[in-house]
Amino acid sequence: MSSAEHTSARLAADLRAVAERRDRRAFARLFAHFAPRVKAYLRRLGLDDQQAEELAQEVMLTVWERAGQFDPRRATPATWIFAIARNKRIDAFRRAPRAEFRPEEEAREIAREEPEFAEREIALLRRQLERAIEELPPEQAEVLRIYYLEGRSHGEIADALGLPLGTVKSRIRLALDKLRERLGEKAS
Amino acid sequence: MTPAADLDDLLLAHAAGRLPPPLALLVDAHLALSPRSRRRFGLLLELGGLLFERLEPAALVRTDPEAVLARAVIADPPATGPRDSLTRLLAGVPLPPAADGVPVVQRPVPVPGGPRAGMCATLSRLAPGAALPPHGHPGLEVTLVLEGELRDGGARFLRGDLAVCDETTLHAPAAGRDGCLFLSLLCCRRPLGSPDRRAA
Repeated sequence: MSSAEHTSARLAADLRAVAERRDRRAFARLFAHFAPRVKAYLRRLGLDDQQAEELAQEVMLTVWERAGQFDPRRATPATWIFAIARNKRIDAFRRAPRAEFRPEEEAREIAREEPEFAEREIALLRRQLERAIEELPPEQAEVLRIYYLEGRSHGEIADALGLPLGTVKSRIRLALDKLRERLGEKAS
Repeated sequence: MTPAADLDDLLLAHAAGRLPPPLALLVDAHLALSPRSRRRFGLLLELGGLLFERLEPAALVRTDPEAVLARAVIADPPATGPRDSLTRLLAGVPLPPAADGVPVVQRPVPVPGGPRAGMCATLSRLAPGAALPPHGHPGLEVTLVLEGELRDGGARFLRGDLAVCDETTLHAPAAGRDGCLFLSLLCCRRPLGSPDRRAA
């Protein structure tokens, strides 16, 4: 097991402890690991320091309240929390006039479906993904990282990197094709 | 229509949190019905989680986790039953009934933002074999099939399938033998003029 996997397994155990025993120490460990990353993510998306701090606290509160919905067959802890942060961000950026849109309910709906992955499969996929990312040409990995972690459109990424729009799109596509190939997933 | 790449682009944008809320709900409704897309989406989300975890952590102003917990409600979250994405998207709009002799019944579905945000949703029921008149789209249009079968060009879409069109698509989708019920969401970069521009 790599150290990243050890960390992931430990964080998953902490999430379980929060869900089952409302374990405040486990939560403190989750907070120490994730709150600064959630804040970093939100800062990159363009929130100012105070907004990012505030929203990161909200994300961690959601982690405390919804820890029971974490399912290790669906996602690693980092991915589960990334998804919560991404939902909060959609919510905060585009405050809908109607109260119907509650992105955090998404997790509940998906929880009723069959898990995407088999038991323990996710650790394997995660390891393959990590290796595959290391093997990507740096310029492809960079475009992927910006696409996921910064609130920029394809056009804005192209401007920032001084590339034609088509090059940005094709780098993303090539990167995803390579990841899929590495993971042995057939084209959909 | 809907080359695999289009669906993949949509799933990627959703994983990265880039879809406007109504479209995010529509894709969630698709995911709830499609194990294949769910797996693909799970991988794309996992990729996001991996990149997220590698971020350089930001310094916190308030580092005390207990301060967060102090804000937690004492009771568990209210036990309002979960509502699925589709129910939330439809927001009480009744499904158009199948009526004898009426080939096409359409109902507008209000969406957050609405035409001013370039968004417009429509529920359509096509009688068996009925077709929409040929039309184009001023932007991206994503259609979720809810019942029956939708035929478009050589492609067939069944319950849970997503059909993706854009400015370049000119088509006249038709229902299969048992008719078809579907929800379409049009997303434009600019406000939509009224009346509905999609009328042929």
